[in-house]
Amino acid sequence: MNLLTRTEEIILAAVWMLKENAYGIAINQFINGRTGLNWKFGSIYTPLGRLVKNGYIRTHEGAPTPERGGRRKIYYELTKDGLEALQEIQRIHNAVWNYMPALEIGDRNE
Amino acid sequence: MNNPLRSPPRIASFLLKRLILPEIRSGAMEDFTEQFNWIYQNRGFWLATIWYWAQILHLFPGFLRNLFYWEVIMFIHNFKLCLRNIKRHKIFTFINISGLAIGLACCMLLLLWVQDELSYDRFHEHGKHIYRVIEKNQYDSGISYSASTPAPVAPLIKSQAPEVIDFARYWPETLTLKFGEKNFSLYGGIIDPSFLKIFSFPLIKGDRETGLANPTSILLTEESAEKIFGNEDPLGKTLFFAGKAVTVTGIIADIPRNSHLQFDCLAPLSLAQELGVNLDNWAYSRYFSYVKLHAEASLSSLSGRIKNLEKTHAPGGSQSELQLQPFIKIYLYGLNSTGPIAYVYIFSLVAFFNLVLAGINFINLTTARSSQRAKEIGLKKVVGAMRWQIIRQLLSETLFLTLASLALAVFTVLLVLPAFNHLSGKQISLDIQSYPEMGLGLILITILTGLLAGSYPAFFLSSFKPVKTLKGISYIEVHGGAPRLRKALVIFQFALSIALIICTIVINNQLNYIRNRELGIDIADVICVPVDNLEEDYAMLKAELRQNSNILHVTASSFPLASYAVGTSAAEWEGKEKGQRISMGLAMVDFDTFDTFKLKMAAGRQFQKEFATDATEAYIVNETAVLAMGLQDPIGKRFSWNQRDGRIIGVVKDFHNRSLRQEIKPFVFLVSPPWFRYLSIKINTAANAEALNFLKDKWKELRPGQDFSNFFLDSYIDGFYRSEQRMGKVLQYFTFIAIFISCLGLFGLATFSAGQRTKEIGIRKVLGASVSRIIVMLSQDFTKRVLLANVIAWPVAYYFMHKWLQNFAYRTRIDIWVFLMAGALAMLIALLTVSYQSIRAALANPVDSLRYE
Repeated sequence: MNLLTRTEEIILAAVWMLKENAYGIAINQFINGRTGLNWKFGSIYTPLGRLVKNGYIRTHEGAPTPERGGRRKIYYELTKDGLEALQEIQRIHNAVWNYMPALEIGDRNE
Repeated sequence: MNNPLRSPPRIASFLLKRLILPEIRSGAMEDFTEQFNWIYQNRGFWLATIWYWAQILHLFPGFLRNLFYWEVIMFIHNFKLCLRNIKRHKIFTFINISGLAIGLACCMLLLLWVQDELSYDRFHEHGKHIYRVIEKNQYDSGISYSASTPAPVAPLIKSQAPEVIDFARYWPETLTLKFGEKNFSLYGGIIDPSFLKIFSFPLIKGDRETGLANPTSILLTEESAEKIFGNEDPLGKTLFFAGKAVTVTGIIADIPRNSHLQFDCLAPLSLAQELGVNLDNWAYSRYFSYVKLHAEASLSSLSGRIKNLEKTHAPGGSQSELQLQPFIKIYLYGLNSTGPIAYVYIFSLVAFFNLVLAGINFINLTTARSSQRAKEIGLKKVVGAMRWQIIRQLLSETLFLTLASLALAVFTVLLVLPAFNHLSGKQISLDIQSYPEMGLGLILITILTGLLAGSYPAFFLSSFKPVKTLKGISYIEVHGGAPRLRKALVIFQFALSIALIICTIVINNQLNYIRNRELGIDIADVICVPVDNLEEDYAMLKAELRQNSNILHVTASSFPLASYAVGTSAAEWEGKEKGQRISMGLAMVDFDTFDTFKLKMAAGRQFQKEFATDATEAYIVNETAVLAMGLQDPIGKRFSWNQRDGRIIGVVKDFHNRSLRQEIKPFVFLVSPPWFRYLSIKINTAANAEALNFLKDKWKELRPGQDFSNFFLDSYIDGFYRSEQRMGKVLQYFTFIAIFISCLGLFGLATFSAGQRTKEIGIRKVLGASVSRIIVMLSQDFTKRVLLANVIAWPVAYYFMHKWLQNFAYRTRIDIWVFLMAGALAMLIALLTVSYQSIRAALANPVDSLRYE
């Protein structure tokens, strides 16, 4: 399996965490709010599109909302592949980071 | 919510849409609109608009990365497939690429030639507004044009027509210039100083405005300056011309090859005036007159006004009408006979034919082979390829092949260009900068060929349902339109080749006819030498030269007897009707000239020294002149020219003295030593070289300081046809190549069809078909097509050749055997090509062919 890029990984995680509320603006706000990164609004759509195209995420329509003048929102959710990819990332993450000594310069010199 | 919702700027959303992958496009666009409205509600419309536009910039880098990443992956993939295909079908690829490359190379060479011809005289800045004044003369025998006019014509036109900005006269003359003890004979133009204002011949040294203001000034070309002065600085040097000192005031850059005006030096007309030339004289039509018009001048109105100027102003009257000929058309269209424009058309056509042939080959082979790929395409579709992806793959594959051929073609042209130059007598270099249109045009044509060739398989095959294509070749071959298209193209291809063969044979026939036609004059081994002041020491020269036994005859005349002569329409004769007007050539000859050239008399006698009056009042005319004058019994009739009253003493048989494109003109001969300008020396054929050496040595002794410039008359005559001969050769080669290309295609198709019918042939053999039967079966198709091609080609070729032959006054017939021969030749070549494959297929062991698949 190909490893995903960091951006894709973050979006995948955001979609998973937002559960039923995962639509474009929410994803954006969630990422910027949670990580303190300052992603531009439009910049999630390229990786998001790629994830949909490669079958990690699928879209579904929600109920009509007043913010959109009565039109439906498009929501995102993980597919089985997407979930597996995320699990794989988590596994690798844990494997690398779990027993990592503290990342401070002084400690190494002792 | 205070404000109603608004939609974002339309152009921005249009762009934005394209930057987002289609999979999430609609949802993402909704998100953008919502965010846009949120900003609009809270911070105002302008900020929202700016934000919206900014999103495009944010999305762009990702979009590009996305786009190119997949493009590159697909490109590499397609490229790999393409290379594998090339490897698997080596013969096909080779025939395909090399055939197209040869066609393209031919096309390039011919177009280079055409371009070179078309470039003649185009370098003058004002070229489009320059016209040459010509005389139109109506004779009883027809219309004839003269490129030169009397000296007063040009100034007269300028004074009468305000749209004429400037005029310049040009009088070509061989000038003998003396520097120190040496004489140099230069081909010069004696001109109005305005010549340099009208034409853009660049000056390297000196001033073009004032360079020729002084009557004793002269301009030399770089080459002639070097010839005279070597490495010394020529500016300010003094030369002597007809006893007058002239100073070199400027150096002209060497005249470009593609200028029909060629000269070694330029001298002002005022110099000629000082030497006694009268520029008010209407009697001599020897000045080429050029006028430069205003950009907005109306040619038709001006032509109407100048038409009768010469008739009304010439003292003593004139019958000549004045006309204007565009300067840039002079070289291409000529005046009385067509210039190279005919060949420009023929070669363009042949170039086009070659390209079409090669293109058809390419298309035929590509489509033929593509049906073998139906399975590949079907499988691709099964595993999910989109139609446009298949189209793109197939198109880029053919494009790759065509571009490879183009590269090969350019390489070939570079390789054969020296040989081509030698053949065509040109000095063309492949310098794409000077032919940007052609380079671009060829690239476009190549790409177009690729697209055309690729489009059939690309669009047709990709449209099939995968199940059908997976069923195999037979389905496509039966249901596709390709075989019929291919058949039609093969027929067309062969029709073109056959037409070209016919044209080549006819042109060759005509050229042979010209060369072998009885000229009526013996010009073999006659050397012609132009001599100044020949009359003075003619007798001495003659006596000295005749001492050598290898020199058979020495005679003199006013011009080389086998070329154009001074013309007159002012002759009078007994029985001339009023208003009768004939243009006659005038030749001043010596008593022994007729013997030297072995001219035969039709009636009367030759000039003879024994008759004292022959030198003062005898005339001999040719048969055409007798007819033109309408004389029943010409001998003894009174004849007069230039106040020289006399009688016709003989009629000489017609002989050809000009290009066979033109008819024999009426001619008059008289004995008149003051006019002698050329020595004609007939030498012994066997001792050619010795005689020539003797002449050269003797010349140094007899005429010290004077060049022995000489030419053989027969090669001079050949010069009239040289361009024709060259063109005939060029055409021959390119016809050969065209046939070769056609055969290449046929060979490919035969290979293909034999390959396709392997199983059929196997079964037939098993059932008892003989080898010969199978060969006949396989060749039958092609034979029929070639026969059909003949039917198409014959009338077309006949039409064009009939028209071409009209250019010649004396022409060969187009016989039926030419057509039969061309047809048989095409058939033979086609059969040879096809039979190789047929025999191979027929001889194969049926066990092998049936086991296959």
